[in-house]
Amino acid sequence: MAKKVLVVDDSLYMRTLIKDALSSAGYEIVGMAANGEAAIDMAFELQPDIITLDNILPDMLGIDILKTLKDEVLPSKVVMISAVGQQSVIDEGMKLGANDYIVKPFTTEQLVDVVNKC
Amino acid sequence: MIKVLLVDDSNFMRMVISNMLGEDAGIHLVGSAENGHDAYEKTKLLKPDVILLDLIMKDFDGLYAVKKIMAECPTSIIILSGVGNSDMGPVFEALEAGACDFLNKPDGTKEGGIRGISNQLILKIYEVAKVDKNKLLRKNTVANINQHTFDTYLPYEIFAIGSSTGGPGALEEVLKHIPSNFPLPIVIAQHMPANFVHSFAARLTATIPLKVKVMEKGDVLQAGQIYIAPGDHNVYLSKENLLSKRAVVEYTTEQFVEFNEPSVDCLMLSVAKLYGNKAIAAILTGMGRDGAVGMEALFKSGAYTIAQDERTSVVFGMPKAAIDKGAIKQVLPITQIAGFVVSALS
Repeated sequence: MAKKVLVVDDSLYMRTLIKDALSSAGYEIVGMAANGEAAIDMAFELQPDIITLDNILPDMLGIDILKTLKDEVLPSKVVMISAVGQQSVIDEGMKLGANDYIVKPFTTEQLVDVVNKC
Repeated sequence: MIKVLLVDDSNFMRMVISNMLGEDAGIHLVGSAENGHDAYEKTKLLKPDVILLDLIMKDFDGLYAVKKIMAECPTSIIILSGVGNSDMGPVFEALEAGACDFLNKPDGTKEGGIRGISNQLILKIYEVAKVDKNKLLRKNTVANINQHTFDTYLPYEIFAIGSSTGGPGALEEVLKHIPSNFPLPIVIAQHMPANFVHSFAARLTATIPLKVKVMEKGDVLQAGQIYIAPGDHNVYLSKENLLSKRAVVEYTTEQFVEFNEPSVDCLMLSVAKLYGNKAIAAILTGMGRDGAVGMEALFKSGAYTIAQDERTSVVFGMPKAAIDKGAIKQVLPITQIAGFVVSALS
């Protein structure tokens, strides 16, 4: 059965890019969120297997969303997506319980590889 | 021995071209045809490596031939574009249907003269004979032109692209995945005769959200606008004036070693000089080595350099030349280049 993915990114372009890449790789995209509040709501409602989580969102940082999800013991695996030069964010995320991370710019092949490893 | 099938309904053209081909010992003219249906039948029968194909013929035209041949027995096809053709639409349709390359027929002018065309034609025949036919069949991907949330701080200020054989299709694939709110100017040098470039720009403008124009001397680069180098000048970018941050298009008569009018090296070298590490550049499918020197200069100034990969390049020459110089940071299939560039701007 296809693994369920929630895509979180404020850019419609990136949500589409990630959705297309992961759908082609056999994942089922069960939801897409453009801000933190929607991301948290959807995460609990949809209980995805994997969440791709952009770090910069209009209402909060991905790292804060991650903290909330882990505090509430959501079992979803999280892949953090961050821009270059945010190593401290990545380190903090991994400590908080993110499963993996990918740095922009990335190829869709790299994204699929990272999600496959989850 | 490269087997060539010649398709043209003009007796004169068939004679002229057959004489040209006769001068090269590695090329064997295996047959000729006068209309699209005959072209298709002879292709099935003679199995040529390369087909030279006129588009305008009676009864069944060249486009018919391209579609039938690419559907059943994909072969490398070089379109011979007619003298005085003002409508290049059919040539681009033929490329979209899977034709590999195109060339202006001899027209009696000095540049369009027999000698000049002959060398080009022979070179193109040798190159396209090597192409993996499966690469020629264009896959239709869905365009992603949705808006992206670009940061207020942008690490790059220009996106520059160089391409040749197979370029029109590759460029379309990249540009149709560029978001409609792309914040940088895009400059392109595609090896193409002057009469084709305007048609190509118009065609692109109709299919993608961003506006595409042919570069003219004095043009000031604007964000979100695409500029294509003309086919009758070498162009470069320079600063508008001492106080301005904006770039302006200039012509030069300087000739470059690899290719001219337009020279990809000429454009890329100026982008390296003007933008340094604020440039992203991509070298796409193409015959020869134009662009390698320019990409190397870009790499050395800290720009982000991308090359199209072998698997998706119709001809891997230009990307490979840049890769061999150590000038490339990332090699990508054509379908990934736009998304990669956009995500680099986040």
